[in-house]
Amino acid sequence: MAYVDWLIKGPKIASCNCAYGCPCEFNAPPTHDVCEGLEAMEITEGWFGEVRLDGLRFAASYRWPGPVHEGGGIVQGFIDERASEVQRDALIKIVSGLEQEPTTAFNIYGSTIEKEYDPVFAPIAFHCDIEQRVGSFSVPGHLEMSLEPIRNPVTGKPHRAQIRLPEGFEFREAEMASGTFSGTGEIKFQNRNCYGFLTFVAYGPYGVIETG
Amino acid sequence: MAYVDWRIKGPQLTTCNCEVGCPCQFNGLPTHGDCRAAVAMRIDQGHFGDVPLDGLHWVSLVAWPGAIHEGNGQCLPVIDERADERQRSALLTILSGDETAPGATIFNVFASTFTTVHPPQFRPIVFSADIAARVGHFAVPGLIEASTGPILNPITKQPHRVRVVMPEGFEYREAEFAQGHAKAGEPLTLDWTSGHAHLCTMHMTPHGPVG
Repeated sequence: MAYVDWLIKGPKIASCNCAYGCPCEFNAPPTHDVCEGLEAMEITEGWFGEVRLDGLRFAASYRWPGPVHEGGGIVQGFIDERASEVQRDALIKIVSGLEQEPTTAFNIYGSTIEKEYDPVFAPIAFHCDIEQRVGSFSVPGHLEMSLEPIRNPVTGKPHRAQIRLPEGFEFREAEMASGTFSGTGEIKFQNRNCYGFLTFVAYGPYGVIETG
Repeated sequence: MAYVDWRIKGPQLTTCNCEVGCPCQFNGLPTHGDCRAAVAMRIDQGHFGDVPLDGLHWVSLVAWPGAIHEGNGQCLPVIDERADERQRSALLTILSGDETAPGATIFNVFASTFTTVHPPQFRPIVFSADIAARVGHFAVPGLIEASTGPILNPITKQPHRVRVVMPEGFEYREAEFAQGHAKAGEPLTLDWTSGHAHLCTMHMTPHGPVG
């Protein structure tokens, strides 16, 4: 099948309520049964057909009652208010899983969602330093998240660990971090010092594109 | 401080009672509260001073009532019965964390968390490992039997390939994560069927892993 030619590339940060390292990355059940969290991406380079997407940001918050693959999830998307009408349409198509294979991250996660709240168009503040494992994003009135290095419980020194998924559908390589976040919009949550990751990814109609 | 010049390099298998992905690798808490594990290695190339260690195996059974760093652990070292007197002494020194820069090797870090070290046993050790395939097996007949295999995707049942990289780690720089089982009797009992496992090439020196 032919898809619209699109690509989004840039840093992505995420956090959920699981323990550091998130068991789900290894196909184990979530630490606290329920899975809730959030993520944001800044598109440093991107397009959807003729529409440029460079510099735009988007985010999502979500919750599943159990492991993601058992379904029943709820999700809400957040689109950069700076996006024009055609850019909003393009981003919504991408995050909704349109114009792409069923095996992309957007479609795999999408297949587990039971309820989707209307997307919010809002300012999204975003900061990310992958090497230092420091990042944050906020959608005022809805979402706040910050990442810092995991600390060794004895020495207090930063603990550096990466997860590599050579065939991963969400990322191929990510730095592990400690996340603290809250959601005060439709999906409410508050968690401290739990799983977080930072990665640099590129997605297209066929999934993750290796960026080397 | 100067340490005896030593080096051991070869395949290493570990399995523990945590869920696959073992939270402890990321400084999380063990899945079930306590931590029990079995580690085995075949030394393809190794020496301790002028004592060659090539071809020898070792196994270590370990257990803690909570997270490793909270201490009160116990350890049972098992040394390949083919090792001669000097090789046995060399391997036990390495495993005890002596002749190691403080905190540089897993042996040294773990040693500070043990309150009980059982008398070492000198036994035959069976060992095989295919790191890329995540398939491994080791046994000390009459004491422990353990194996590893790939994690399977819960939907597709296809092998799930995942590696963890620790650029400053004290055990490995890069390991394939897998699932494992272990069964061991007294004096350090182990019993799980689909716990965490990882496979790597251990390349350890007094100053920590070098690859």
